[in-house]
Amino acid sequence: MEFEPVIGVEIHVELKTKSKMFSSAPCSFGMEPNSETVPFDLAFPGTLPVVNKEAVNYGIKICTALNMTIDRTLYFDRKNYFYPDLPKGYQITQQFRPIGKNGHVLITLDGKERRIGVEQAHLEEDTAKQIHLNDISLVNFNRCGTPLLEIVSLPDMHSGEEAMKYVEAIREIVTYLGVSDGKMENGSMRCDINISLRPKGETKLGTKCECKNLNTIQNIRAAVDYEIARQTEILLSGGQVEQETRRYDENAKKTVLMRKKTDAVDYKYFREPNIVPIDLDEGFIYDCIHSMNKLPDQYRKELSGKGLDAYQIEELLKDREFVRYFEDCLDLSVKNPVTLWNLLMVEILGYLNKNGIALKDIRPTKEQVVTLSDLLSAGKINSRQGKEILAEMLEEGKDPLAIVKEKGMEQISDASIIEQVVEDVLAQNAQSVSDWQKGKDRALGYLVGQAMKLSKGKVNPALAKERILAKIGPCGSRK
Amino acid sequence: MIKVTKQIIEECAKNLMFELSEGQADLILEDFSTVMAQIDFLKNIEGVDAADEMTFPYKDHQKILREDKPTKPLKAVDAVRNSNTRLGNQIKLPKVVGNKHDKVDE
Repeated sequence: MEFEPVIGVEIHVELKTKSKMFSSAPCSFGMEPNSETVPFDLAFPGTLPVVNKEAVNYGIKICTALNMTIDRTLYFDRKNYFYPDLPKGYQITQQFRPIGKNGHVLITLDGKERRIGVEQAHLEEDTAKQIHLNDISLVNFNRCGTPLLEIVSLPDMHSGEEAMKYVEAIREIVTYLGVSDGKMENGSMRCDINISLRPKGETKLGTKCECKNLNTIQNIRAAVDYEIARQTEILLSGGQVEQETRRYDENAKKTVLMRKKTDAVDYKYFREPNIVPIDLDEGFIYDCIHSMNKLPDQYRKELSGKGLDAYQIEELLKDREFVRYFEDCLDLSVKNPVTLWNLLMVEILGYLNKNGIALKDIRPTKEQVVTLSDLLSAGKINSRQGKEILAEMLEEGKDPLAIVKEKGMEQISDASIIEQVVEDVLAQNAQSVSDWQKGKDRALGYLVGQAMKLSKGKVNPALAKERILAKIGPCGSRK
Repeated sequence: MIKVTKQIIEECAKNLMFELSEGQADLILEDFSTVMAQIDFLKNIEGVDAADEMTFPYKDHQKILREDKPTKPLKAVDAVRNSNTRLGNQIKLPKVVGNKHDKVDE
């Protein structure tokens, strides 16, 4: 029997606000334990929640990017449970009226565009962080109350690859919007994946298992593929899949049981009485939407018209800092975007990685980088000289034109000078000319090299090669 | 609906770290019995299930949201002062993860 995997994804996105969702406590990553709380976060009597405007702004931005319908009134609800990670005894969430509904994301799978439905997105508060040691647990309330947007997909995915692409698309969107770090390894984006199998052609969903603790994009694919194989084996051997919560063990490369779900937990949801419904001002919603950063798909469309291929575009899009830098250089009327790409994504990126610094911290200005790119694309300097100049620009912050002048690097493109150099080279290397004419094709490279040597690297190699060929004819002409 | 017993009240009190005397548990049980009887009474009113919940007694929507400006937080030492068991500035608890019905840090 053939089975069809059905996959749904819930993503918790930590919003990059300065203060918490319902309190004014600061929220930043990696601070001293329990140093970022105010009495509300610790559920002290008499404290009340007040909704953070920026978290709502970020929520609206994400919902818009996910093509969702935005609820014009904010309602919050209580999810009741008793556990040390929430001292109030409940989490404030949006169970019944999520801020966003009925959206979708487009992903590309095997060269084809796929539309993944997004059921809803709701604002809520994060819980405290617990560290479980041998026989004790430690509670740190710094994370307690951090704004989250939970994005719930429809069960529209059918493979590990598809689930991975979906999560990648969401991460790209939230990082480009600048509303979240999207760092799965730091927990600023956390995924729970529901996986079930059903006989092919069947419409009723099978029993699902939830997979947690997926802290890298690659682990999502690995966990889903493992879980599909595990459930297939159970069903083919006549067994039944049990409803479980599992986690992915990165070392063992498999999912392992965390707990069985014998009964659905009753969280006794009810409306949060301490937050009266909030009508969102149309002007506020307009401002949220119209202050959105450019999204990756917009960049893809724009950059494909600049002569870059798909690989070059995707490499740029991996880091918003780079694509914005590139865009700024295009605005400075760089002559050849491909030359600029090579300069940025090969030479400058290599320098950044080697020295552990960020692009915004390099010494040359964007104008200087564009000047260097234009010198290269116009053939005024060769690539070896370009690397030499860039090294000085990065190390000493010098201007590229000043370096060219100082070192007398500018290439000779004057036809009469090139003609003279070529004539001298051909006169001094009659044997190589003869070899070329007898069919030894390597002789041409040698002759161009001699022209470079004679001119001390200044002659434009492309023009020199052109003139040499014009004089010695095609390879093997006197065989 | 679950029947509230003295045993349940004592268990809840223990979980919440409240000390209850014999008399106090009886008083709470009496109060609960009154509340539950009231709920049973309400349940029997015709059409009650179709009525919308009235969390807010009248429409009083607001438009105010808090500006995202952090204020000075509590000092870590003060934040954990109410806890009897600490390790550094973290609250120390018996490990509960792994038991059958326990929630795992999410």
